[in-house]
Amino acid sequence: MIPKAPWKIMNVSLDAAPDMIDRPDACRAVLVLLWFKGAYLGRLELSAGEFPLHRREFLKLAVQAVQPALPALVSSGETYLSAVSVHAARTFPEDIRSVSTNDVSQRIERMMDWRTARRSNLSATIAICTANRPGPLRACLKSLEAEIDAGREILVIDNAPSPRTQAIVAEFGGTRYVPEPKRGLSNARNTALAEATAEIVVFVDDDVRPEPGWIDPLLAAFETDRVAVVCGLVLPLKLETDAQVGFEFCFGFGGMGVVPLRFDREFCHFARTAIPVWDIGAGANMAIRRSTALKLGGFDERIGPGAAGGCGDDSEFWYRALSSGHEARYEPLSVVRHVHRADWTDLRQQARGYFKGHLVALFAQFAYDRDWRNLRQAFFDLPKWIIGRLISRALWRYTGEDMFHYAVLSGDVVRGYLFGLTYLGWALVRPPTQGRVTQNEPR
Amino acid sequence: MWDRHFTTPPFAMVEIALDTPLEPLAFAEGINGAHVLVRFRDRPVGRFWLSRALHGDVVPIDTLQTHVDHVFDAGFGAAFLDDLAPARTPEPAPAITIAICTRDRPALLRRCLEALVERRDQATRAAVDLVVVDNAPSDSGTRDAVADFPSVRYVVEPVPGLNFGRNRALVEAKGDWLGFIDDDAIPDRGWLDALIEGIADSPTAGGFAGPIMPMMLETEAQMRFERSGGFGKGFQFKRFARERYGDPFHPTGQGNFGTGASMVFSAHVMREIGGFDEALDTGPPLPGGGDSDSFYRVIRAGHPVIYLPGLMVHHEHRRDMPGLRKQYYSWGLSNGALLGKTKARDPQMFKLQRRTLATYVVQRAKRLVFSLAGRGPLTPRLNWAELAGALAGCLGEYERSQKRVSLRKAEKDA
Repeated sequence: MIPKAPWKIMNVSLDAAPDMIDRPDACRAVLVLLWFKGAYLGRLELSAGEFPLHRREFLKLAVQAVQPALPALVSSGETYLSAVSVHAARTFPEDIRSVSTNDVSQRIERMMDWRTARRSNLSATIAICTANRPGPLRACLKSLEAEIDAGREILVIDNAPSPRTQAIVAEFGGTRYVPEPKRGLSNARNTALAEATAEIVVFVDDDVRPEPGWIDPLLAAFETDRVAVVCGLVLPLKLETDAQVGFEFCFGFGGMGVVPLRFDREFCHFARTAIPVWDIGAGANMAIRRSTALKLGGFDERIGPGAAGGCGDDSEFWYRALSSGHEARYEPLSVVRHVHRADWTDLRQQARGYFKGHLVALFAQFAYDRDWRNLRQAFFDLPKWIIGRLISRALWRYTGEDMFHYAVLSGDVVRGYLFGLTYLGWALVRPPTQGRVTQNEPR
Repeated sequence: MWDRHFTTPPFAMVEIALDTPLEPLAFAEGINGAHVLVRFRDRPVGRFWLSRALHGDVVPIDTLQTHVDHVFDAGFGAAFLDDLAPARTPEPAPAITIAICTRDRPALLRRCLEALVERRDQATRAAVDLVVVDNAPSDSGTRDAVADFPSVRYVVEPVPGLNFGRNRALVEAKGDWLGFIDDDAIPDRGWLDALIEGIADSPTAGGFAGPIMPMMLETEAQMRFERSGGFGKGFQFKRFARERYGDPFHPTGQGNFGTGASMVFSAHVMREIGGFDEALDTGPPLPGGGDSDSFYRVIRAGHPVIYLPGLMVHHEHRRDMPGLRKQYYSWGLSNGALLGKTKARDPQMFKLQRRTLATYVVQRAKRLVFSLAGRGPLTPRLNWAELAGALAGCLGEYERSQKRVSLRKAEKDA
């Protein structure tokens, strides 16, 4: 049973947990984000009635919540673990097994020290794509002040050009305002790719608040020239309304792990269904190597918010990058906080958009490389998943698996899926926009 | 097919430590498999099963390793926890009374007392007081057995019924904490340490429970029982407070909290909520459920119940199939009877209790259907016994039991 809003979000560092963890005021449940030496280790959900907790009670619950990922995290050491190994059987290297002789916390600490000390000399442009959301944009720019002061190139792509947005951008010296009247997030992102001058373009949605220093781990993850995409961790900023709780537990970024991952050729081949590119991360916190993006023709402008579907533009691009031999990384040290939509109508729209966008992206991906697994996902696995959800919606009283948000949203999920089906034709034609953003000089 | 490999006795009881190198496991003559308990730093973290038919006469290290890897993260987590916050000893040392309620089983009692006295004598961090409650004895066997242990107190509770015995123990308890161990179980070597640390970690707890592992798997009844889940409730630390995240049935999932073979209560809390319900746990064929019910009432009174993996006992399960059938019937009966009890005593929770019971009945009915097709560790008769018990239980069994118990009391008083 997922308690309804309001939730509180608590950040607790395991190495400095207080003696007593009291119940936060006015909430039904608490999402505890667990940290250790500055690294995200996982999350723990607690009902309000479970408080107060004594220190070791809390630590026992917390460690239990994070321990499934611990062996993989420690064994990743100074590398990125292959994403396939996460799906495969649980096997551990020999030195991890001799856990008794090793100090676990020291090993994690050493690893984190090494990871956080890495610095890349790649240059980066930060691109914020926005449309008619002056409030969130201002908050986002505020959280970027350290980067502005450091003289980093910051672009604000206004996808619904208005003097209001322009005025906000003008408040922050050192940022550049770029209007892009043609609607669509993919258009805006392509504009950013064309306008940027640095090697790496870091995309930040207007509804996220990057943590200070989130950019360094992203850049450091571009270890080799083959790495085209790096995604970071997205955590919720607040869960104050039912819509925000619903988003977090149905469409949220909750599945984002704590282990740094490598997505490569092997990853393209292991799955029986479509390549699970959505595992890589979220477009809300991603960095892209500009030269590779330009070579691949940028984002598909038919897909994504403002065009067909409410998502899929980013994952479709990752798909092309991976299947053309490039690699991707997931870097959990890079943290942004996301403000979920507060309004239930927005969430319903998002539910429709997500499923439509997912399907549209699958069709476009099939057109790109004729990989039948995309259609298998579209016509077999996805319907199967949806039907499963509908059944558990009908039975939740008896199974105890109460997904109240899914129950409410399943109508929208089905509608989104059906909308998506109308784009089946895209599976047959090559995308017309391939190669649109190829010029290196700014327009 | 699969189940047959794991229901043919006897199975060996094997222990593996995560912190020592693995060695190939060879089955002795006539042994059909092994129940493997995995420990890390001497604390239990998991278990798995091996079958001679599936894994061969000698189980190679690789096979063992694959099994161990499944519980490996628990050891990793335990090591991490030790680094973050080493276990502490409570200040001042807690005063613990451990009671064994028994009736006419001197041989089993002797075995249990030997282990307990040994643990008690090793304990330096707590004052432990041992009591044997002899419940309506028919001879002096129990008294004679206890006489061999000079440091163990002996009291008699004349009214037959386990919860009469437990209430007598509550009266006799000198300590702040009152623990119960069944006479057919022996506490694990880390039992007392786990309890002492648990008390230090959760000073506000109203009760503690722990896993019940099999002592031996020698008969078909024992194998089937343990394979179907037995008393085991896993090796995860659990905390049952007023609310519990992710559990839509809480707090009415009474069966999840713990088992009477290894449980500890705050004596103060127990007295506050009026002791154990005498209409429950009056011995088969009357309903059990006295343990689940007391955990439930502790939680409802606002005191968390803590499930500690270290609070483990080794229990000798029923050896014969008729006995096992009776036990399943009595389980069903008590789960059903709790519905009546909730309706009378805690009407606020009645609807939820009904849902819990419905889910339980549906689940057991499903298990019965599967067993008719020859699947699962239990025979159809065992499954039917539990289901029949549940149905009989929710049709006024609690009220019937209350009547019987009051008659019994009146008889004794007269």
